[in-house]
Amino acid sequence: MSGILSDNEMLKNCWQQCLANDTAALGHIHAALFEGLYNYAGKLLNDDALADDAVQELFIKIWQKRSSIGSLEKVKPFFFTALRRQILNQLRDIKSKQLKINAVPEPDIEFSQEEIIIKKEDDTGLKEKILQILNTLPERQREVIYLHFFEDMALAQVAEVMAINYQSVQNLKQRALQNMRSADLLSLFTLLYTAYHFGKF
Amino acid sequence: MSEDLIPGLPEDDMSFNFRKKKVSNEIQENNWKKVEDAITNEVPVRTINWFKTIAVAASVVLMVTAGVWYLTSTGNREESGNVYTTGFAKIKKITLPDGSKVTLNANSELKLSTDWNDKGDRQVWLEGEAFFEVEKKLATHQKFVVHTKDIDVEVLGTKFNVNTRHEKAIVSLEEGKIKLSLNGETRSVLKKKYKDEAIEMKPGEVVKLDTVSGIQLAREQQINFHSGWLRNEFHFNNTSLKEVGTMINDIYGYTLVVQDEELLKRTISGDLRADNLQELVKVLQLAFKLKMKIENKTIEISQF
Repeated sequence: MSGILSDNEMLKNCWQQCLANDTAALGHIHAALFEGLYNYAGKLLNDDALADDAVQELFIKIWQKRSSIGSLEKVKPFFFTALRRQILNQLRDIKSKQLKINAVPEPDIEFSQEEIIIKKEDDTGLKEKILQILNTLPERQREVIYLHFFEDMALAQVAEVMAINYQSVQNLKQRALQNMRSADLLSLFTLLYTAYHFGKF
Repeated sequence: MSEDLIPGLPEDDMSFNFRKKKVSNEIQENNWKKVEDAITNEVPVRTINWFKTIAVAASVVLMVTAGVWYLTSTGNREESGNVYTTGFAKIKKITLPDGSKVTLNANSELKLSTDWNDKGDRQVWLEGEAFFEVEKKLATHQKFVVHTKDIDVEVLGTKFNVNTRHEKAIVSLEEGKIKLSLNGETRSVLKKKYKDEAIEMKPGEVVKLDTVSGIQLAREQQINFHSGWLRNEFHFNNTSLKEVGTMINDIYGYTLVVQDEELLKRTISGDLRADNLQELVKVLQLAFKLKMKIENKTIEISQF
């Protein structure tokens, strides 16, 4: 936990320097946050090239608006929030281009094989099962899971990024876990869990 | 084993972990370089946006139609003269010596007769697709004639679109009056059926012609759908992915690659605007609910 705090301290300092027109400081922030932002943008846009552009645009815009943004308490959630808003606008833009064609999917996060590690090795069947269940969760639940587990964001930060209140995030997470549990996975979980504990004792 | 064994699924006890995707330093560095370039120039925001708009506007003009060369049979074409051509994804606006305006869609060619002058008939030869806005010459009664492989279009001051791609001709008339007559192969094939009658068209009418189904004349509510390419608009009416693929190939020179041929049967209806291929593919992806990946001159299609 202290690692995350000091990260935030570092980012906060960098941002202060940005406010003093130090472009190199923005470079540090870029280096620190790029992977997370790029992956998140990739999840939302489903396209690496677009994700790359989106992150570029994000940093350029934030730089241009730095003086009106002012000091930041939490740098990382700020960048994620801004990125999400920008991408939603972009998707809406695409939607407005279509005069009649209906049904534009909302950002649709999909988990892939490489993103799951099974603790018990070689259990590919279980991996597929987990993926299948994760990817059939409602979109917002998937986004909560993604930000919470992949980006190590506290639920409060997830709430901020997704622009919903804390209670909703908690509910979404609970529902996601419930969904996972109520699916067949429950049996697998319980099985593994008990096996683990029996093994232990 | 009851659920309370795993209250809230404590993360440590999940049977799996999530793993973040690694992103190479190179991607990060390139990304930063572009950001750095943009911010160190510190051009006022407004100017940047203005530039962007111009670039977009330019691509609007540049990025539109194209096709397969069907009309290379040079039977009745002039040997030389002014020639205008467009490549894939390019559009050209041409003002002819008489003041008539032609917008040449992508992958098309327009030739003017060598003896184009103030008195004689104004003759052009078209391959591909173009939109014509013809100046009337009431005083001199100079005809304006568009020759294509299959038909000749004789004009008396008018706005119309001629599309000669794929062994058929589609002529749609927005304003004025034109007269069509058969030409070349269609003439010999269709002569018996249609004799040598010329077809007179009124505004709002469209004539489709090919050697198989002959001549079809129809009235259309929205006649300017045919010239939608002038405005980067695409119109679909139960249009299959296969037909969309042909259109993309005509305009941009990209080929669709599908693993499952069944996907080609999917259809969409509706209108959309797209300023370039990337944008078009983005929207088609959502409309067809298929994944489309642009990769050197092909578009790979797969299920989501």
